[in-house]
Amino acid sequence: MSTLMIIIFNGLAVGVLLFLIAVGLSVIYGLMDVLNLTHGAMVLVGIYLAFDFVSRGIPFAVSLLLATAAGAVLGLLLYFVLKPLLKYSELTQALLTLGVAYIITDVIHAIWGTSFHSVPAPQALEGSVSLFGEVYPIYRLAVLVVGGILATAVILGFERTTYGAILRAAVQDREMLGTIRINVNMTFLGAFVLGTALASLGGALGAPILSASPGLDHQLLLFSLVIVVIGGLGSARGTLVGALLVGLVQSLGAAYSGGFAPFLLYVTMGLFLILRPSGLFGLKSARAAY
Amino acid sequence: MIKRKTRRLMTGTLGATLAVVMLSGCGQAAIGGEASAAKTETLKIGVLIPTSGVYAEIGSDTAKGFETYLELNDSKIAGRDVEVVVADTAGDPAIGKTAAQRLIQQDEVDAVVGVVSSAVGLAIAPDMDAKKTPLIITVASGVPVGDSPYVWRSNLPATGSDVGAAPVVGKYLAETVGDGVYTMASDYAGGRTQIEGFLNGYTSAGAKTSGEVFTPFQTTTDYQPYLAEIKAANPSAVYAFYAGGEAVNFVKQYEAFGLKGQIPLFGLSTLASPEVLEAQGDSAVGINQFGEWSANIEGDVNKEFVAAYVDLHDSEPSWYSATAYLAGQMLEEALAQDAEGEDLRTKIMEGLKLLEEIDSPMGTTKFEGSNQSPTHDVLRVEITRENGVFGNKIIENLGPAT
Repeated sequence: MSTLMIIIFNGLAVGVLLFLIAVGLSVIYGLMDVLNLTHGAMVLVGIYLAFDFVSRGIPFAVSLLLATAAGAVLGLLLYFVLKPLLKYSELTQALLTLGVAYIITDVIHAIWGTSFHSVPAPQALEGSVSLFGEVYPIYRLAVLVVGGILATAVILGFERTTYGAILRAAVQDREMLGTIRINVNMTFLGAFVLGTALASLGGALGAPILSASPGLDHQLLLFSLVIVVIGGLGSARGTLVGALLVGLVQSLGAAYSGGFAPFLLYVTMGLFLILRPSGLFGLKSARAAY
Repeated sequence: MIKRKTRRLMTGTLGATLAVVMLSGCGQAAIGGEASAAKTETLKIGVLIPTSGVYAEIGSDTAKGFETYLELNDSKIAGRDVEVVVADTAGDPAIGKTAAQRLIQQDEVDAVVGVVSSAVGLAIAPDMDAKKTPLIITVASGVPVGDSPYVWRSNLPATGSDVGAAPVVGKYLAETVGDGVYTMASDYAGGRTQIEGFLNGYTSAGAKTSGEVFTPFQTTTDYQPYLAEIKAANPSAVYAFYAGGEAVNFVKQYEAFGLKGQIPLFGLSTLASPEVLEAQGDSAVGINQFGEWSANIEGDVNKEFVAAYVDLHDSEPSWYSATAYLAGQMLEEALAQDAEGEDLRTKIMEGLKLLEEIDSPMGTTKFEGSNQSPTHDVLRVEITRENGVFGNKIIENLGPAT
């Protein structure tokens, strides 16, 4: 029983981490119709920045903020690279953003090499505690708490603030939004920067769990795409539910189905695509997510 | 989606010599000139490794090991200048196959060295046959070499349940730990064959396992669910096969979820290899692993290799570097046999068949009757750390494996 409890609990903790990683993709894709495949690379940037800052002796919390800020700045640059693409098809966007993603990961490896780096958790959060009679690392509990707070903040910001209302309106109908004297371009820029900053923050926060290693960007991009399909485009709430679901399917699948865990994940995604193509809370159909 | 990178590796020392070759006597039919022309013909070696993806660091260690051999031998193999062409497999069979075909067909290399993923090795073996180009596998253990006369290896195989280090380790753990070992590995050709071999040795010595699990390859970053299951099974020890980034996360999480110190962890030498040790940190200390190489093996060749490697690359060599170094030695010895052959490829092939014994970083490498792959002693080493510096202490020699 305690084994099952700890596996479910861990699934939720991983889910919260996945939410932070995926929410940026959901916002950018849902809002701007830009299939931003640089997303995994941006998360990797966050991980390597966290590694870099922490190994320079910068406190972990400060490293998180720096990585987030760097993610925002990179997002700003990236926005102007991708902006001309807004009018083209998703295939064109996918090709270009994937190309840019490769450039980003190659730059990462040029700077930090292809070595594996682990990022130590902050000292106060090192070690483990007993949970349901099992050993559980404190850092993962902290991620659950911090991630939960961030998730609430993003969802409330999205659903309860004026800016959130504008964002949601932009997902629905950007021309209409333009007619009521709202600068749609600035709205998009803001959302894009927010998305990449969150990707970088998610990476940095996950760094002590994920470790910095080459190839991780693909895995994280894939997870993000699955979550967005399940949760629905442009919905922070949907992304959270999707991420928690993916975390649980991964954890339980791994424990009780052995090698079928990834299979279960894609079965879940497939079922959503067939039965509910707009996802759980999608504001638009995920027609482009095939 | 396809990532392609082929770049020519011209290391500092090689750079100058590589460009100017194939000049004198080429195409001239002068008597006497032909022999010397053949003698100075440049040897073109393809190094087929992942330079991207989760096994990038293993690929890098492989290239460095081969470079160390060239460095110690004035960038020559059997008196010939060597041109090295590196091709990236990304650890993926499809990409690896394209890369191998480019090496063989466009670059027309005389031999290929490397290959980390067994899946890549299996995919490219037919291409080596088609172009009659010898391949010396240095890392991938799950590729059957006997199937093709062109596929050789410098490391121990794990192609069936009765070859390589794994069955020797299985028998050893059955005798020393007894019943109740839990096996765990990445779910791909390499992991599957390693566990199969281990189980053969383990169960034929009369021991019973307490469970086994294969984790999805290259997509697993969180081992918690598996570790929770292992804990519940209460095994006498865990025998794990992981490499690269997977080994980092696995070993760290083995400690984080409280298994370290409670359940002894055994594995092959990929588990806590030098290129992952720094990232694993203290979580790797105390792991007992089995393999054919340790930096502490006595012998001049190993000492010279380790010293030159550290000097050249400013990092510790790994098992991957040692077998890549041996691949260089094998090419040297094969060509030194001066076997009959119309081109370098055939000369290397015929020469490899004549190999008997090489003094290598592994101590003594024997080829007699071992079917295109070497015989090496299997060592049990323990990961230690003193004043922040990792070491591997040789605990026991389990005897030869082929």
